[in-house]
Formats: sequence, structure tokens, C-alpha cells
Amino acid sequence: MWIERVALENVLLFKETSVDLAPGLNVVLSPNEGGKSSLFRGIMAGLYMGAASRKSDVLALARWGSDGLFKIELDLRLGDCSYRLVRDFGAKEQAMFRSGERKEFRKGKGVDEFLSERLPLDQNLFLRVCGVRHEELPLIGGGEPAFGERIEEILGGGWGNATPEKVRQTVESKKRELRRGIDHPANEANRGALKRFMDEVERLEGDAGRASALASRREGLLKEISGFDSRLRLLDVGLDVQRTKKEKAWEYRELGKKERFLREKAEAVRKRFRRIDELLKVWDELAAEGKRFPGVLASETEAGLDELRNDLVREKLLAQELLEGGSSGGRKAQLWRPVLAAVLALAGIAGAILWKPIALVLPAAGLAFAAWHLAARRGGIKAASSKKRDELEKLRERRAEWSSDRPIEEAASLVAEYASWREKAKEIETRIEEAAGGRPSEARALLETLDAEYGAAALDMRVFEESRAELEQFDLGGDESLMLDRAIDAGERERERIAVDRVSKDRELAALERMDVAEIAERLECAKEGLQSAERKVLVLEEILATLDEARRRMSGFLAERLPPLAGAHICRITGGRYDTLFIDPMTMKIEVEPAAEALESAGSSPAPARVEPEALSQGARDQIYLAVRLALVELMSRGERQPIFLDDPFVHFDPARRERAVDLMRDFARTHQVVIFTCDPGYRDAGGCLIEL
Amino acid sequence: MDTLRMLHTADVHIGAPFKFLGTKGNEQRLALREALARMVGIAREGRYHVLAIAGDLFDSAFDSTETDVSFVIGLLHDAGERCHVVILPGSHDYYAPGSIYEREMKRFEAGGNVHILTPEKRVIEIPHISLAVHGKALSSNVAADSALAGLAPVGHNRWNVCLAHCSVAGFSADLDGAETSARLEDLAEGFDYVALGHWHSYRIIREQAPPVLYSGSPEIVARDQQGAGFAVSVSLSDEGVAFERVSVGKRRIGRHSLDCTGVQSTEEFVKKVLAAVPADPDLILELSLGGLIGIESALDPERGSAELERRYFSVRLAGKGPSREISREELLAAPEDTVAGTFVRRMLKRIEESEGEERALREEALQLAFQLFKGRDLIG
Repeated sequence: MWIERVALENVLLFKETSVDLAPGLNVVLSPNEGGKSSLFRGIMAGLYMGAASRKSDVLALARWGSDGLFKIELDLRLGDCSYRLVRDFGAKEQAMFRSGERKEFRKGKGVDEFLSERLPLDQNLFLRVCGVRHEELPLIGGGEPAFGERIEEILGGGWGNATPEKVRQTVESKKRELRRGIDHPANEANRGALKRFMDEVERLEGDAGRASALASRREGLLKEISGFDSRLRLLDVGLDVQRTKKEKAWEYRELGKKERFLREKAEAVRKRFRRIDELLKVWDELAAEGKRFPGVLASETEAGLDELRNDLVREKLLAQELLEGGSSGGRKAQLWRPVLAAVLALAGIAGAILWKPIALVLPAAGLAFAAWHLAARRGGIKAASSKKRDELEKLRERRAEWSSDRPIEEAASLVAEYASWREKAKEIETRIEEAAGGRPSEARALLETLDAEYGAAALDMRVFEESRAELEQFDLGGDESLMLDRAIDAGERERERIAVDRVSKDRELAALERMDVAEIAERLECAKEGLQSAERKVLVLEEILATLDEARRRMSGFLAERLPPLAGAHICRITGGRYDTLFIDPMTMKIEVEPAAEALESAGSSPAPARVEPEALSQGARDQIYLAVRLALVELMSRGERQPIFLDDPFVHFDPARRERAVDLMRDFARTHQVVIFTCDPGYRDAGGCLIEL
Repeated sequence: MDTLRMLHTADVHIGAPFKFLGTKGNEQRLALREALARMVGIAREGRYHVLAIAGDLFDSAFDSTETDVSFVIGLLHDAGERCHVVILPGSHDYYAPGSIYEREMKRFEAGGNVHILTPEKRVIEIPHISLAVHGKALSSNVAADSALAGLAPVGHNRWNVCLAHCSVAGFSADLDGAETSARLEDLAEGFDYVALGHWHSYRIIREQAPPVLYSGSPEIVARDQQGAGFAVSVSLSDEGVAFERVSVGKRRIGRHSLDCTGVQSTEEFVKKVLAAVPADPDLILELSLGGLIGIESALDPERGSAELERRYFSVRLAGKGPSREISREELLAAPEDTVAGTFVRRMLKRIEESEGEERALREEALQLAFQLFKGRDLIG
């Protein structure tokens, strides 16, 4: 790269200026406060400061009294192309144009991106290596750890866009990101993929283990429960046999009672049958006997029979009365009259005795009654006889009707016999009812039932006899029976115990957590794949890092190898051979110098220490060493794009001879690099190259 | 009865885990249930007399969930009174104390149409269709003896069918070391059909006298067996035994090789796959990637695979994927005396010294670092 032209507007001391620079040596001559620093700072701002930046060091570039509106234009040569860079800090606009084109090809941030890609050195490094003011010369050998590495970055850029350190940082950052939470604790949300997958795998493996253990436990419980069920089934079969045996033994013991019951039942049936049968026979006999009685009697009620009996008595009495000629009934009916007459007579006699005149009335009344009685009796007897004859005749007709003209005595006897028969029949009927629970006609049906019952009872007895034969085998002795009871008891207790155990296992099974084994296995597989992928990525990154570190170490050796001889050659040329060997730590850029042996001998001075740090030497010698190292670095860093170098009065402390040699060196250096020397010393007018006077 | 119709299936593996499907496993477990439901529907609607399940109806003898068990029992009872279901416990759902069939026997048989063969009960007779179904239920996950030996047809039945869950000597490769294969020579005379299970792909072992077939799984249960997704419809009549394959599976496995040469980005890769294999939500796609992709290519097959998962049921990358085409000229353009140049040369040397996974890993490292030096971060 070289800068072809610098145009500044309202920058520091310049209201408006334009400076053309040559690709080789340029000497910018100006007295103090003549604009050298303004030009240098303008070039730096043009290369590295965005137009939109409002940093104080940018704003400080504005010319005093210009209200901050300043503008910088640089014409740059990058590779084979020329570009115009315009940064308008007032308008906060910037653009880049290809040479000869009026339309920008980059603007805004695009300009910074383009420059960032094409300028291998950042601003700080550029200032420390390529653009150094006089007082900053020693900074090149400051021994800062990062400085050498940064130089190495420049040296390492094979393709130019990213430095090895940047690549390393990116890879390291990715690796750290992946491993976040492994090397150092991290919140769950911030854990890297590797840690997340490791945790996930660990968790899922735990789950899978737990699920597997649960599945094993479930299988074990199911087997145990199945075993319990089998044992329960066997026990139940055994207990059934034992209980049946016990029942049979009990049945056998109960056979006597049963036999007695069956026999009693049969006997009762038999007795009842016989009794009813006998009663029915009596009943039949009575029925046969009853056939001799007239049918009218059978239809008579008890009252009717009594009436018949009374009729017979009345008939007999009437017949007797009529035979005797009066009616005993009429006499009896008027007996009260003579009795009253007698009572009255007696009362009159008693009155006469007691001398009571009134009592005389009473015998007179008695006499009257007696007379009245006698008259009435005479008329009544005649009338009564006629009535009785009629009544008797009716009674006789009636008797003839029901008794088939039997004589009265015979009829009375028949009624009496019938009554007796009837009484007897009623008694037998009652007894039949008692025995059979129904009338004789129903009792005959019952007899058939009883007969069947008796037959059934006999059958029961036969069955009983058979079962007795069967049950004889269960005729257990006392000990045997006791043992059976104990066995059943033990079996039942065993059953109960197994049932309790089964319930317990059942509960445990029900309470057993169920995990989705299939899903866990699938997720575990996914997590393992993720972990594998993350681990592979880490391995890839580690491979990059390992190879990159190896390459950097190798390149570090390269820097150590190349830089000291190159810088040594320059210092040797400047010092005229006084110093020819530089020792430079490639990482820290710590510099040591060793005087040339020949120079020491020719000077006749005592041998100097093998190596000394620049600080141990004079200011001039120090500046010469730093200049030599800087030139060597610019050379090394110009592998892709040649870098310019800006020097601010670099030879101030040089003696004339070394200054001459240094200027000569710069002229040679300017054949391959743009060199811009800022100076206020007019002696450089004849240094050669392009003289720019501000 | 003139013709007896039987639907033969096996290896349904209800409740199986699907590690190769990752988080899609649950969907595939549902697909297994659906496949069983479809078969029961076919058996019912197609007026089949028997649905024969030759082992591994469930994936586990002890650990099946109550949901799965209830679903299966309800479904089998739904086959209808006319269709009898005969289940042979297999190597996964073997019959043992406390196992699913021993535990739930009453529930299975409650419908009246479901019959389970056990180690003790080797034959199930269904008199009204004059059918005897024979089989030796496994009592552990390993067949102890030949699954066909010792089974004899029952003479008074018109039809005798044999169920077996086993490998067959001479036909089944990659046997488990502890597994004993069955020999067809052990099969007694008089059987009309031999329904096999254990092999997850449809396969005819013998065409006739009698036919011996694996029905395969009705739905995909493993990634390496492409013949899954079928049941076998069998017709037994006086004319002989006829059988045909019936498709019952929903998902299928598709294997495709893709040449990734020249593919520059993951997006391009996705488009190329979709052009070669049309999107299908029921396709389990296994992609073998080949060819050479440039060192500059930003193709990330894993990311592409994740993108394709939305177009297919599942996408798996098989093999090691496309190799990186390393242009030495471009890489070696970096000067040797730079860190990048040294890095490239060291890495190329390491790649040459390695092989297999290590080589692939270093190739990837070189490619990523190359991109980083170029200012592009492909690490993700």
C-alpha cells in the first residue's frame, strides 16, 4: 500500500490543503507548528477513523473555529488498484471510489469493512510499527507480551482476512461455548451443548436405569403375585379336600340322628296311616248302619229331631188324655182360681178371728171366685176335648209320614236310635278330621299321600343305608379328626398369610411408579447422538487448535529466525558495523544487542557485556536500534501488501555519519516501500526523493 | 364350510421403543396400534374366520402398559364373534408366571373369541369351523427347542394350522447366538399351513405342502427390514391353500443414495433430496451421501437432515457422508512461511496419516479452519 495524495479540509492547522506523495521516499519539511503532525494525524484519521465517529480524538482533529466540520480525502494504492477514500466528518459520510470512477463502490460502514479486509495492520499496530512519532520510537521494543503476538498475527495471515489469533479466538470461543459449564460452573440456562447433552444423557441414563430397575421390580412382583396365586390355588384345592373330609366325617357322625329321624318320620307316617285307616273303616260301618234310618231323619237337624221327639211325647200324652176324658191341661190352666178363692177364704177366717169387720169381705170374694171357677170349668172341658182330638190327629199323620206308619213306640225308638247313631258318626267324623285334617272323603286322598310318603321314607332309608356304607371310610377317630382340624386350620392360616402377602405385593405393584421406558430409550438415543456430535465438534475444534498452535509455534520460530538478522543488518549498516547482532524475543519484542567483536577490538575498548538492552546505550544508539527493528518488521509484514512507513524526525540524535548512513538506508528502503519522513531540519532538502514543504 | 379364511400376522410389537426414530418414536408406537386396528378391521369386514398372531403381539412380556393391554384386548374382542383370534406368545411377550398373558388370560378370553396358546396348551380347537391351531408358546425370550417339533395335527379337524415364532434353519440369517432355529423337517405331516413370526419382513419359506410363511411385521419396527407392513390372507379349501399379501402398514422405509458433488449449501442439498425423493410424511428416509464437495462448500448434512425431517416422517443419514474435495492448489496458495500456510500443510499431512473417522474429523477441521481464515464462520 502507498498513499498517493492527502487532501485535508479544516483539519487541525489546515483549512484546506492537498499533498501529493511519491511511492518511494518523501521528505515533508516544515518548521515547528508548520503542519507535519496535522498531516500525519490527518493520514491516520483517513485510514482508520470512521466519518460517523464522535470520539474525542476524532473531534479533536477539527481545525480551530471550524465547528467540527472537516473532511479528509486519501488516494490509496492497494495492490494493483487505486482508490479514493473520502471521509466527510461534518456530514458523517464516507465513500470509496475506484480510480476513474465517479460512483462510489463502498460507502458508510462498507468503507470500514473494505479497509479492514485490505489493511493488514490495525491502527494501533500501524502507529507502533509504521507510523511513529519520534518520542514513540522505543515502544517497538517495549516487551509487551501481546505486541509480538500481534505482529505474528500479521505475519501469519495466509489468506489475509483473519489473523491466526482471530481464528484461534473464534475456535477457542466456540470450544468454550460448547464446554460451558464443564470447566467452570455455569447456570443451567448458560450451559454449553456438551454439558447440556452430558447432563441430559446422565439424567436419561439415570431414568433408564431407574426405569429398568422398576421394570425388573415389576416383573419380580408380577412373578411373586403369580406364585402366590398358584400357591393359593393349590392350597384351596387341598383345603377343599380336607374340608370335604371333615364334612363327611361330621356327616358320618350325624348318621345316627339322621337314621332316628328317618325312622321316626316313617313310623309317624305309618301310625297316622293306620289310625286314619281304622277311623275310615268305622266310618264306613256307621255309614252302612245309617242306611236303615229313614232318609227324612238324615235331613233333620238337631232341632228337627227334638221336635219329632216332642211330637211323639205330645201325641202319646194327648192320646192318654183323650182316653181319660179330660184335659189335664185345662185344669192346670184354671187352677189359680180355686187357689185364690181358698186364699181369700182363709184371709176372711183370719179376719174374723182377729175381729176385723173388713175382713169379712175377703171370704165373700173367695166364694165369688169359686162360683166363677166352677161355671167356667164346665164350658171349657167341652171345647178342650175337641182341640186335642184335632192335634192328635195331626201328630199321627205326621208320624205316619216320616216313620212309614210305624207305631208310636217304635217310631220313638227309631228316633232315639237315630240320634244315638248320629252322635256316634259325628264323633268319628271329628276324629277323622283331627287325624287327617279333613273330611273322610279327603282323608282317603290323604291315605294315598301317606302311602307315598311312607314309600319315600323307605327309599330314604335305603339311600341312607347306602350313604352309610360310603361314609364308613370317614369314620375318623378322635386323634385323626383333631389332626384334620389342625391341618385345615393351618391351611387356612397359611392361605390368609399368602393372601395378605399377595395384597401387599399387589399394593406395591400398584404404587410402583411407571416410567415410559420406550420414550426414555428414544430420548436417550437422541441425547447420545447430540453428545456424540458435540464431542466430535469439540474434537474438531481441538484438532484445529492443536494444529494452529503448532503452526504458530513454528511461525514464532520463523519470526525469531528472520527478524533479528534483518534488523541486525540494518543496525550494522547504520552504526557502521558497531552493532551487528540483535536478539529479539518474537513474542514480547524484547530487544538485546551485542556489539560486533571487530568493532570492539578496533576501538580498543574493553569487551562489552555479551548482550545489552538498548536502554543501556545512548539515546542515538537506542533510536538506531529501534529504527532498524521497525524497518525489519515493515519488511516482514509487507509479504502481501507492502506497508508504508512514516517517520517523525527519526535521526535527531544521530551523529552525522550515522545519519548519513541512515538516510542512505532509507533511500534504499524507499525502493520497495513508501517512506515519509517528517522533519523540520532543512538539511534533509538534499536527502533525495520527493520534497514537500508545508 | 367350503373355505376357511385366515389372516396371518406377527411381530406387531405393541409398545416397542424406536431408538432409530428418536423423538418420533411415540408416533410410530401409535402407528403400531393403528396397524393392529386395521388388521382387526380387515378380519371383521372381510369375514375372516381366524386372525392368527404368530408371536410378539406385545414388545414386552411384563412391562406393557395398561393402556396398551386394554387397547389390544378391546380391539381383539371387537373382531366379532365370528372371527376367532389365536395368539401365540413369542420371544418378546413370552408366557411365564406373571407375564401379560398369564396375568390377563381371563380378560383376553372374556370375549369368547380370543384364544391363547400356552406352553401347556399346544392346540386350540375351534369345532364349528373344524379348525385346530397348534403352536408352542415360548416361556422365555429364547426358544429352547424346535418350535415345530412335537406338534401333531388333530385328525378329526378338517383344518390344522401351525403357528411358530422362530427362525428357520437355512432361511434366517443373523441369528441370535442363544437362539435355536426350527427345522422344517420337524414339521409333522398333515398341517395345512404354517404361520411364522419372528422375522419382521414378509417372506415365503415354502410355497406349498404346506405353505410356510413369515407375515412380517404389520408396521415398521426396525430400520433394517424393508419387507414390513403386511399381513397374509390365507384361504383353506378343498382345492388347496391360497395365500396373498395384504398391505396394512402405514410407514415405509426408503433408502436413497445421493451424490453431493458440487453441492454448495445446505439449502441446495435439501432441494436436491426433495427432487430425488418426493416429500412423504410416512416415509422413513435413509440417505447415503456420496460424492465430493468443495472445501468452500457450506453444506452441513446434519442441518439439512433436520430441515428434511419436516418433509418426511424421519430422515437418517447413513454412512460417513460426502467427502471434502480438498483443492491442494488453493490451500497451498497460503505461503509456507505464514501461520495459515503452515497450518494447512500440517493439517494436510495429518489427514494423509489418518483414516476413517479420524480422517473425516481432520478433513472437517481443515475445512472449518480454512473458512475461518477466510473470515467465514461455519462452525455454527
